[in-house]
Amino acid sequence: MMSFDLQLFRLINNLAGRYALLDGLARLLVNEYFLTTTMALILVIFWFEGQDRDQRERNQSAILRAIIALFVANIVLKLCNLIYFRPRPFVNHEVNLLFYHPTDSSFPSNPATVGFSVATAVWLYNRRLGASLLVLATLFGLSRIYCGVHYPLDVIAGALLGALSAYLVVRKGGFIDPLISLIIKTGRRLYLA
Amino acid sequence: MLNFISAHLAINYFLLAFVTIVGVLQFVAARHRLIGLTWLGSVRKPIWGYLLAIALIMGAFTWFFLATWEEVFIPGLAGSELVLLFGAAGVCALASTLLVSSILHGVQRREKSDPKAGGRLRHEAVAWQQLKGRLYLPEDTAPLKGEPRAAICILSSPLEAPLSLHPLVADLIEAGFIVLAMDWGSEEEIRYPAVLSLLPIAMAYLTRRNEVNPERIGVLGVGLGGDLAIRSAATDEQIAAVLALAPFLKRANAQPGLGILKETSYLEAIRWASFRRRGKLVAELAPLDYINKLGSRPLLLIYGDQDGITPLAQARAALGEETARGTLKSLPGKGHLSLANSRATSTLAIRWLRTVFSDRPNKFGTYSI
Repeated sequence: MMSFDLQLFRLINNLAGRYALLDGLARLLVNEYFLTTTMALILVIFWFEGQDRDQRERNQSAILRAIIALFVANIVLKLCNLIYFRPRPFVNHEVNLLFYHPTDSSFPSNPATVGFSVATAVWLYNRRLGASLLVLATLFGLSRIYCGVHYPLDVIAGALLGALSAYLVVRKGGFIDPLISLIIKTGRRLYLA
Repeated sequence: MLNFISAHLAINYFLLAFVTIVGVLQFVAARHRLIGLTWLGSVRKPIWGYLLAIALIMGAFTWFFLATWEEVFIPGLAGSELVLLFGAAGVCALASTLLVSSILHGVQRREKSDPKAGGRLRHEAVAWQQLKGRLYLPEDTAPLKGEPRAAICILSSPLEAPLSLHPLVADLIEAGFIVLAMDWGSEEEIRYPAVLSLLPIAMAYLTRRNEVNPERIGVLGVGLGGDLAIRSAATDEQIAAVLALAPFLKRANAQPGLGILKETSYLEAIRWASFRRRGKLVAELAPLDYINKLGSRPLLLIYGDQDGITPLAQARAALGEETARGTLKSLPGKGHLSLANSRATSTLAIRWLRTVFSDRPNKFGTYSI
């Protein structure tokens, strides 16, 4: 499994340094600012979407659940990091590194967890927008492998963790309904929902 | 957890988030025609809103990466710091957007308003029993074809300046109607069931006037005034016709949420909401329960198809069968708060009033204004 992971890592990471345009694009995607901010801005737009109050409420509920899923996924990720530490690819292998040297555990990928928790939660409500966010989350994960800071297995595990958290929060998180309703009701009173 | 190891990066990220969120809000304003969010003063040409949004978002990202390209590739802000900065920037961007938009909207309204408009119409102040208001009379109040004039009793939204209905009043007078613009009284007086006495007193007042044909008195209510008009007419046979402009019909419609920003600025929305009993009064008046009790007396409900407070679809759904009977008419391009000031509304209202009054025989024979 680990050897397949390494082979796949090499397949992707070996592309780095060959094409300046691809490297530039990967560097734009890999940092913590561009895609996270873009996804957050898409959620802001989604907050206001909807033909009527009911549709808007559904979208707003999706966003709030996505935020909760993100927090849940991050807590689980921190627990995973306490139990298991996997060194970054550049620690034990020669890689094409296009990013700085993160010191925390490689497994599971934090950006993939963040991206997939938000994207999956939205996807469970709105397939089209969710699919767009899943594409962005996938690009985020792939760029981490391309730039040499994550193994593919890290990204897959992060994606699964994020998706599972989102599924549980959306489908099995009925107990947070009162909190969601309270936030939306407050937003409506302030003419913002 | 919060170290902000690079203050420069933190400040730049805050500015990036602030400007991009403002850009996104401009996109939202253009897409959903939200007057309360736009920085362009108008949402009639959304293309300018989209262009502004693109310029702000693209400009902010370009500036951020040009200014911090080296820094984003060394350990910088932690996830929790990014969340905090984005959240703070979001609050600031939203507050700035709402404030700037309200200021621009206020300036535009002042430029458009005509402070002398209220003084042009011939009127007399009315203070009779609990009734307060203004009686507007046509230049010539002599009977037409031996018949006294038809009168329309207008009830605007509570706490709304009666002057805001002046275009409608002017058009009704020009069409030959006598108009009584009623005042709801102070906020404390607007309570159920006390409000139920407003229209019967107005009817008693109008029927005593020699210029008024007591069989041709209609009621025109705006917003909550429309709900009260329906309720009062159900129990007052003297009301010959009911015209309601964007009545709420249901309590939920009086709590519009984001929809009100389609109609007005945020500060104006807060002012509108300062009358807190609106929803409760709609529930107490229960206009939907009383529509069927109007019997054969004609009823027309007019909504703007851009109504952000009581959306047309919700009004249609609430009215059900009444919609099929033609009780509901919609006017394109009009909102809840702009409906009463529209020439299209006046035209439709006058045409309808003329039709229903001429269809209704009385002791004076066939009626025409």
